[in-house]
Amino acid sequence: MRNRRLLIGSMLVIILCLLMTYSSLDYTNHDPGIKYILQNYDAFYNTKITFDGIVSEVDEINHEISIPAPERPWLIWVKIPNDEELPEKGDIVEVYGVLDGEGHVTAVRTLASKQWEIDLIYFRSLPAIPFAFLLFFRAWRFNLKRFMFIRRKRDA
Amino acid sequence: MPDWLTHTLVGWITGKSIKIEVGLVVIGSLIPDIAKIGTIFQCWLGINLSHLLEPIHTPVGAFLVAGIAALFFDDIKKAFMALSIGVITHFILDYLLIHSSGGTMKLLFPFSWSEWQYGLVRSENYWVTIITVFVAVFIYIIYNYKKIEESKNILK
Repeated sequence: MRNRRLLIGSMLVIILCLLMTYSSLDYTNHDPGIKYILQNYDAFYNTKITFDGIVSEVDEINHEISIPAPERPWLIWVKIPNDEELPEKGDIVEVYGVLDGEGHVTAVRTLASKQWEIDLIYFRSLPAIPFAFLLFFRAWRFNLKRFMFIRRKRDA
Repeated sequence: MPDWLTHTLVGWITGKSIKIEVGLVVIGSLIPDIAKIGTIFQCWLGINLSHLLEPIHTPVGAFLVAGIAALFFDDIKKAFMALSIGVITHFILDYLLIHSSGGTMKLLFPFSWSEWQYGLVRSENYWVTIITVFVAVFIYIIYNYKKIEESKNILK
Protein backbone atom coordinates (compact mmCIF):
# COMPACT_ATOMS: atom_id res chain seq x y z
CA MET A 1 0.00 0.00 0.00
CA ARG A 2 2.77 2.42 1.01
CA ASN A 3 4.72 1.53 -2.14
CA ARG A 4 1.64 2.21 -4.23
CA ARG A 5 1.27 5.65 -2.63
CA LEU A 6 4.95 6.33 -3.27
CA LEU A 7 4.61 5.28 -6.90
CA ILE A 8 1.49 7.42 -7.50
CA GLY A 9 3.08 10.35 -5.64
CA SER A 10 6.28 10.13 -7.68
CA MET A 11 4.28 10.05 -10.90
CA LEU A 12 2.23 13.09 -9.91
CA VAL A 13 5.36 15.00 -8.84
CA ILE A 14 7.07 14.16 -12.14
CA ILE A 15 4.03 15.34 -14.16
CA LEU A 16 3.89 18.55 -12.12
CA CYS A 17 7.62 19.16 -12.61
CA LEU A 18 7.20 18.59 -16.38
CA LEU A 19 4.37 21.15 -16.47
CA MET A 20 6.48 23.65 -14.53
CA THR A 21 9.46 23.11 -16.83
CA TYR A 22 7.25 23.50 -19.91
CA SER A 23 5.79 26.72 -18.52
CA SER A 24 9.14 28.26 -17.63
CA LEU A 25 10.72 27.33 -20.98
CA ASP A 26 7.87 28.25 -23.30
CA TYR A 27 6.15 31.23 -21.66
CA THR A 28 7.93 33.73 -23.90
CA ASN A 29 6.03 32.31 -26.88
CA HIS A 30 2.63 32.66 -25.22
CA ASP A 31 2.74 35.03 -22.27
CA PRO A 32 5.89 37.17 -22.50
CA GLY A 33 6.86 39.61 -19.76
CA ILE A 34 7.62 43.27 -20.47
CA LYS A 35 11.40 42.68 -20.19
CA TYR A 36 11.29 40.06 -22.96
CA ILE A 37 8.98 42.26 -25.06
CA LEU A 38 11.38 45.22 -24.87
CA GLN A 39 14.39 43.02 -25.58
CA ASN A 40 12.61 41.75 -28.70
CA TYR A 41 10.96 45.00 -29.71
CA ASP A 42 10.81 44.22 -33.45
CA ALA A 43 8.90 41.00 -32.89
CA PHE A 44 6.26 42.74 -30.78
CA TYR A 45 5.96 46.01 -32.71
CA ASN A 46 2.30 46.75 -33.49
CA THR A 47 1.03 43.84 -31.43
CA LYS A 48 -1.14 43.89 -28.34
CA ILE A 49 0.79 43.47 -25.13
CA THR A 50 -0.07 43.50 -21.47
CA PHE A 51 2.06 44.66 -18.55
CA ASP A 52 1.78 46.46 -15.26
CA GLY A 53 3.74 48.95 -13.23
CA ILE A 54 3.72 52.04 -11.06
CA VAL A 55 2.92 55.39 -12.64
CA SER A 56 5.97 57.64 -12.42
CA GLU A 57 4.77 60.65 -14.43
CA VAL A 58 1.46 61.98 -15.69
CA ASP A 59 1.13 64.09 -18.83
CA GLU A 60 -2.35 65.59 -18.64
CA ILE A 61 -2.03 67.47 -21.95
CA ASN A 62 -1.40 64.34 -24.04
CA HIS A 63 -3.43 62.10 -21.73
CA GLU A 64 -0.41 59.89 -21.16
CA ILE A 65 1.35 58.26 -18.23
CA SER A 66 4.84 56.84 -17.92
CA ILE A 67 5.74 53.54 -16.30
CA PRO A 68 9.36 52.54 -15.49
CA ALA A 69 10.54 49.50 -17.48
CA PRO A 70 13.12 46.87 -16.52
CA GLU A 71 14.84 47.21 -19.92
CA ARG A 72 15.86 49.97 -22.35
CA PRO A 73 14.33 52.54 -22.93
CA TRP A 74 13.67 52.24 -19.14
CA LEU A 75 10.42 54.19 -19.43
CA ILE A 76 7.22 53.35 -21.29
CA TRP A 77 4.78 56.11 -22.17
CA VAL A 78 1.22 54.89 -22.27
CA LYS A 79 -1.53 56.76 -24.12
CA ILE A 80 -4.64 56.34 -22.01
CA PRO A 81 -7.97 56.03 -23.92
CA ASN A 82 -9.91 59.29 -23.84
CA ASP A 83 -12.93 57.68 -22.19
CA GLU A 84 -10.77 56.53 -19.26
CA GLU A 85 -9.67 58.65 -16.33
CA LEU A 86 -5.97 59.45 -16.04
CA PRO A 87 -4.32 57.52 -13.21
CA GLU A 88 -2.38 59.50 -10.61
CA LYS A 89 1.34 59.36 -9.90
CA GLY A 90 2.08 56.33 -7.69
CA ASP A 91 -0.96 54.34 -8.86
CA ILE A 92 -0.46 50.74 -9.93
CA VAL A 93 -1.64 50.31 -13.50
CA GLU A 94 -2.39 47.24 -15.56
CA VAL A 95 -2.10 48.10 -19.26
CA TYR A 96 -3.44 46.26 -22.28
CA GLY A 97 -2.55 47.97 -25.51
CA VAL A 98 -0.62 48.18 -28.76
CA LEU A 99 3.15 48.63 -28.71
CA ASP A 100 3.35 51.29 -31.42
CA GLY A 101 6.76 52.80 -30.78
CA GLU A 102 9.97 52.23 -28.86
CA GLY A 103 8.81 52.88 -25.33
CA HIS A 104 5.28 53.81 -26.36
CA VAL A 105 2.03 51.93 -25.95
CA THR A 106 -1.44 53.04 -26.97
CA ALA A 107 -3.67 51.48 -24.39
CA VAL A 108 -6.88 49.73 -25.33
CA ARG A 109 -7.84 49.29 -21.70
CA THR A 110 -6.19 50.09 -18.38
CA LEU A 111 -6.95 49.26 -14.77
CA ALA A 112 -5.54 51.56 -12.13
CA SER A 113 -5.38 50.83 -8.41
CA LYS A 114 -4.13 52.80 -5.46
CA GLN A 115 -1.17 51.37 -3.56
CA TRP A 116 -3.25 51.14 -0.37
CA GLU A 117 -5.87 49.05 -2.17
CA ILE A 118 -3.22 46.52 -3.16
CA ASP A 119 -1.71 46.55 0.34
CA LEU A 120 -5.19 45.94 1.74
CA ILE A 121 -5.46 42.70 -0.28
CA TYR A 122 -2.33 41.39 1.48
CA PHE A 123 -3.55 42.71 4.82
CA ARG A 124 -6.92 40.95 4.36
CA SER A 125 -5.10 37.76 3.41
CA LEU A 126 -3.11 37.54 6.66
CA PRO A 127 -5.90 36.18 8.93
CA ALA A 128 -6.57 33.42 6.40
CA ILE A 129 -3.31 31.59 7.18
CA PRO A 130 -3.97 30.94 10.92
CA PHE A 131 -7.67 30.37 10.08
CA ALA A 132 -6.83 27.62 7.57
CA PHE A 133 -4.23 26.01 9.84
CA LEU A 134 -6.59 26.13 12.84
CA LEU A 135 -9.43 24.48 10.92
CA PHE A 136 -7.14 21.85 9.49
CA PHE A 137 -5.11 20.94 12.58
CA ARG A 138 -8.23 20.94 14.77
CA ALA A 139 -9.39 17.96 12.75
CA TRP A 140 -6.10 16.35 11.74
CA ARG A 141 -2.71 15.59 13.24
CA PHE A 142 0.38 14.27 11.53
CA ASN A 143 1.45 10.76 12.50
CA LEU A 144 5.18 10.44 11.86
CA LYS A 145 5.13 6.67 12.22
CA ARG A 146 2.51 6.19 9.49
CA PHE A 147 3.70 9.36 7.69
CA MET A 148 0.17 10.59 7.12
CA PHE A 149 -2.51 12.78 8.66
CA ILE A 150 -4.79 11.05 11.15
CA ARG A 151 -8.22 12.36 12.09
CA ARG A 152 -8.41 13.73 15.65
CA LYS A 153 -12.15 13.30 16.10
CA ARG A 154 -15.09 12.43 13.89
CA ASP A 155 -17.11 15.62 14.15
CA ALA A 156 -14.36 18.16 13.55
CA MET B 1 -6.79 37.02 -6.89
CA PRO B 2 -9.36 37.83 -4.26
CA ASP B 3 -7.73 37.92 -0.83
CA TRP B 4 -7.07 34.64 0.98
CA LEU B 5 -9.68 35.45 3.63
CA THR B 6 -12.39 35.38 0.94
CA HIS B 7 -10.96 32.16 -0.51
CA THR B 8 -10.80 30.38 2.86
CA LEU B 9 -14.23 31.61 3.97
CA VAL B 10 -15.85 30.53 0.70
CA GLY B 11 -14.10 27.16 1.17
CA TRP B 12 -15.44 26.98 4.73
CA ILE B 13 -18.98 27.93 3.62
CA THR B 14 -18.86 25.31 0.85
CA GLY B 15 -17.51 22.62 3.19
CA LYS B 16 -20.16 23.34 5.82
CA SER B 17 -22.98 23.56 3.26
CA ILE B 18 -22.26 20.27 1.53
CA LYS B 19 -21.11 18.59 4.77
CA ILE B 20 -17.66 17.62 3.57
CA GLU B 21 -14.36 17.79 5.51
CA VAL B 22 -14.13 21.56 6.08
CA GLY B 23 -10.42 21.69 7.00
CA LEU B 24 -9.45 20.01 3.75
CA VAL B 25 -11.77 22.16 1.62
CA VAL B 26 -10.22 25.29 3.16
CA ILE B 27 -6.67 24.02 2.51
CA GLY B 28 -7.75 23.11 -1.03
CA SER B 29 -9.07 26.64 -1.56
CA LEU B 30 -5.53 27.97 -1.05
CA ILE B 31 -3.69 25.36 -3.18
CA PRO B 32 -3.69 27.36 -6.47
CA ASP B 33 -2.12 30.33 -4.70
CA ILE B 34 0.97 28.26 -3.80
CA ALA B 35 2.09 29.80 -7.09
CA LYS B 36 2.25 33.14 -5.27
CA ILE B 37 5.39 31.93 -3.47
CA GLY B 38 7.05 33.23 -6.62
CA THR B 39 6.09 36.78 -5.59
CA ILE B 40 7.92 36.34 -2.26
CA PHE B 41 11.05 35.12 -4.07
CA GLN B 42 10.77 38.04 -6.48
CA CYS B 43 10.44 40.64 -3.70
CA TRP B 44 13.06 39.29 -1.31
CA LEU B 45 15.64 37.62 -3.55
CA GLY B 46 14.96 39.16 -6.95
CA ILE B 47 14.50 35.71 -8.47
CA ASN B 48 11.58 35.43 -10.87
CA LEU B 49 9.91 32.06 -10.34
CA SER B 50 6.46 33.15 -11.48
CA HIS B 51 6.51 31.25 -14.77
CA LEU B 52 7.95 28.13 -13.12
CA LEU B 53 5.20 28.08 -10.49
CA GLU B 54 2.38 29.34 -12.72
CA PRO B 55 1.09 25.83 -13.63
CA ILE B 56 0.01 25.41 -9.98
CA HIS B 57 -2.44 28.25 -10.64
CA THR B 58 -4.08 26.25 -13.43
CA PRO B 59 -6.74 23.56 -12.90
CA VAL B 60 -4.46 20.70 -14.03
CA GLY B 61 -1.57 21.83 -11.80
CA ALA B 62 -3.78 22.53 -8.78
CA PHE B 63 -5.48 19.13 -9.04
CA LEU B 64 -2.05 17.50 -9.29
CA VAL B 65 -1.00 19.23 -6.05
CA ALA B 66 -4.31 18.18 -4.47
CA GLY B 67 -3.60 14.62 -5.61
CA ILE B 68 -0.12 14.69 -4.07
CA ALA B 69 -1.50 16.12 -0.80
CA ALA B 70 -4.30 13.51 -0.71
CA LEU B 71 -1.69 10.74 -0.60
CA PHE B 72 -0.90 11.84 2.96
CA PHE B 73 -4.38 10.82 4.14
CA ASP B 74 -5.79 7.42 4.95
CA ASP B 75 -8.77 7.78 2.63
CA ILE B 76 -7.14 9.18 -0.49
CA LYS B 77 -10.37 9.50 -2.48
CA LYS B 78 -12.22 11.44 0.22
CA ALA B 79 -9.23 13.71 0.86
CA PHE B 80 -8.78 14.35 -2.86
CA MET B 81 -12.48 15.09 -3.24
CA ALA B 82 -12.46 17.63 -0.38
CA LEU B 83 -9.23 19.30 -1.56
CA SER B 84 -10.55 19.43 -5.14
CA ILE B 85 -13.77 21.12 -4.05
CA GLY B 86 -11.60 23.76 -2.35
CA VAL B 87 -9.58 24.14 -5.55
CA ILE B 88 -12.79 24.56 -7.58
CA THR B 89 -14.08 27.31 -5.24
CA HIS B 90 -10.74 29.10 -5.71
CA PHE B 91 -11.04 29.06 -9.50
CA ILE B 92 -14.70 30.11 -9.45
CA LEU B 93 -13.77 33.17 -7.36
CA ASP B 94 -10.75 34.01 -9.51
CA TYR B 95 -12.84 33.61 -12.65
CA LEU B 96 -15.02 36.54 -11.55
CA LEU B 97 -12.12 39.01 -11.54
CA ILE B 98 -11.49 41.83 -13.99
CA HIS B 99 -8.17 42.25 -15.81
CA SER B 100 -7.27 44.79 -18.47
CA SER B 101 -6.38 42.08 -21.01
CA GLY B 102 -9.73 40.37 -20.47
CA GLY B 103 -8.34 37.41 -18.54
CA THR B 104 -5.31 35.86 -16.88
CA MET B 105 -6.59 32.37 -16.10
CA LYS B 106 -5.08 29.64 -18.23
CA LEU B 107 -7.92 27.21 -17.68
CA LEU B 108 -6.84 24.71 -20.34
CA PHE B 109 -3.08 24.74 -19.68
CA PRO B 110 -1.00 22.80 -20.86
CA PHE B 111 -3.25 22.18 -23.88
CA SER B 112 -3.89 25.86 -24.48
CA TRP B 113 -2.32 29.08 -23.20
CA SER B 114 -5.52 31.04 -23.81
CA GLU B 115 -6.66 33.12 -20.87
CA TRP B 116 -10.19 33.64 -19.63
CA GLN B 117 -11.97 35.58 -16.93
CA TYR B 118 -15.57 36.75 -16.50
CA GLY B 119 -14.64 40.30 -15.50
CA LEU B 120 -17.20 40.99 -12.80
CA VAL B 121 -15.23 42.42 -9.84
CA ARG B 122 -11.81 43.92 -9.26
CA SER B 123 -9.40 42.03 -7.01
CA GLU B 124 -9.07 45.01 -4.64
CA ASN B 125 -12.85 45.20 -4.14
CA TYR B 126 -13.17 44.68 -0.38
CA TRP B 127 -16.97 44.45 -0.50
CA VAL B 128 -16.60 40.86 -1.70
CA THR B 129 -14.70 40.10 1.52
CA ILE B 130 -17.23 41.93 3.71
CA ILE B 131 -20.19 40.09 2.13
CA THR B 132 -18.36 36.75 2.46
CA VAL B 133 -17.63 37.42 6.16
CA PHE B 134 -21.33 38.18 6.77
CA VAL B 135 -22.44 35.02 4.95
CA ALA B 136 -19.89 32.94 6.91
CA VAL B 137 -21.07 34.40 10.24
CA PHE B 138 -24.69 33.73 9.25
CA ILE B 139 -23.93 30.10 8.38
CA TYR B 140 -21.87 29.72 11.58
CA ILE B 141 -24.85 30.91 13.67
CA ILE B 142 -27.31 28.64 11.86
CA TYR B 143 -24.93 25.67 12.16
CA ASN B 144 -24.47 26.21 15.91
CA TYR B 145 -28.19 26.84 16.46
CA LYS B 146 -28.96 23.52 14.73
CA LYS B 147 -26.31 21.80 16.87
CA ILE B 148 -27.81 23.20 20.10
CA GLU B 149 -31.32 22.17 19.01
CA GLU B 150 -30.12 18.65 18.21
CA SER B 151 -28.40 18.28 21.59
CA LYS B 152 -31.58 19.57 23.33
CA ASN B 153 -33.64 16.92 21.51
CA ILE B 154 -31.19 14.21 22.56
CA LEU B 155 -31.45 15.34 26.21
CA LYS B 156 -35.26 15.22 26.02
